[in-house]
Amino acid sequence: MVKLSVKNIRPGMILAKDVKDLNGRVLLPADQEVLLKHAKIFKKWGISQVFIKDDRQSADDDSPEKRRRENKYSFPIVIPEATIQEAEERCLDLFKFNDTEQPFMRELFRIAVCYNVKNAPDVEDFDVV
Amino acid sequence: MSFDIESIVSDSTKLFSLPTIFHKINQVVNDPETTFQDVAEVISQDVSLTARLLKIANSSFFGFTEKVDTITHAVSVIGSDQLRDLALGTYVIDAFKGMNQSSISMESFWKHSIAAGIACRIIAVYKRMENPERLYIAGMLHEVGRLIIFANFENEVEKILESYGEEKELLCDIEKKQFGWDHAYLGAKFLKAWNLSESQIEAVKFHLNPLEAKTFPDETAIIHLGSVIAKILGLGNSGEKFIPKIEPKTWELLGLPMDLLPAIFQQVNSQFSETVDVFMG
Repeated sequence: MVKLSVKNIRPGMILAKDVKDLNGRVLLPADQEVLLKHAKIFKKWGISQVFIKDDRQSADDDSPEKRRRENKYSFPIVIPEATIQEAEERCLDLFKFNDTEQPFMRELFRIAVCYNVKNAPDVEDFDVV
Repeated sequence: MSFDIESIVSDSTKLFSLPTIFHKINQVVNDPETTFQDVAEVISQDVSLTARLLKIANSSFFGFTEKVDTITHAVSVIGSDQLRDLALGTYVIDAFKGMNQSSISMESFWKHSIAAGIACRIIAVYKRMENPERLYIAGMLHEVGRLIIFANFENEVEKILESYGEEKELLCDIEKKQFGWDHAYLGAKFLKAWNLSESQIEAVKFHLNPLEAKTFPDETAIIHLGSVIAKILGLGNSGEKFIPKIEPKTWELLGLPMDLLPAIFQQVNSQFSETVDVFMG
């Protein structure tokens, strides 16, 4: 389990503890995947940090999905967090009429974010894999 | 102005037509008695087409190791049906060249169409379909209905594009509200009038709701996904701001492994500029 600032939350991360507002009301329960929209809601309710499950603790689960979550986008080079976040936001808008939870859709969304990052200015060219 | 689809299609086929030489090529290709040489001779009557086809034959589109330097050679390695389809691809863009359009960039429209066509063709190759070029053309023409809407209803389109910005709806849904049909339905009708194959017509007709295709589900699934791939890669633009509803079952239907997806995207991206160059240059 790791404590993470809300601004560092990435879609695909899994909550280790319930996220509660100041009155103790549960906004999102443990074991739920955090989506970008949740991060926005957390910010709105004044929550600055959340507990996220640490992937390294459960290395026995070797599903492709799990592996992907560990290095969600498989970037071969270091990409600034802000660039990734901007790409994610653009893609969320592009996919706004689609539900990206299903595995095929998740993969399409991942590829979309990768190409968005690849095409961003000041990013060194790389192959999307 | 009436939104009667039959009269729109009949007017549009007068406005946007394929050259006589294409019909000659089609005739010779469909004739079971003809030889490669006969097909090559008819194609050679169009010098610019000949040059373009040779350029395609030697591009990354095919990736032949050996140089293809004559049309006869191209017919033998690519096939006459396939060359006919590629010829259609070059004539289609010419057919719409006269269209004066302020609401959409024609260049951007065709770029999106070509990218979708490449994606369809690559999927068809992985699926080992008989004539991937047929899918290239269907992909390239999947939104031709939108061009016809733009050409016929300038005022309505202007109004549509205004509300499109505010309401954040899918353009295809707005089309349906405004006209009673969308670009997919109109496009299929138009391609029928242009005598395209049944599979291409059905694939275009149902590319927005691919599970409704009953006779050619694979072809339709491919066009559905090809358009999405072009959109995700951000290559060109056909007017739609968002990705229409994706049907994940289409991927299951094609039975291709998920690992293949990144490779398909990569190939589309790498073939794009060269293909645009050949078809639009």
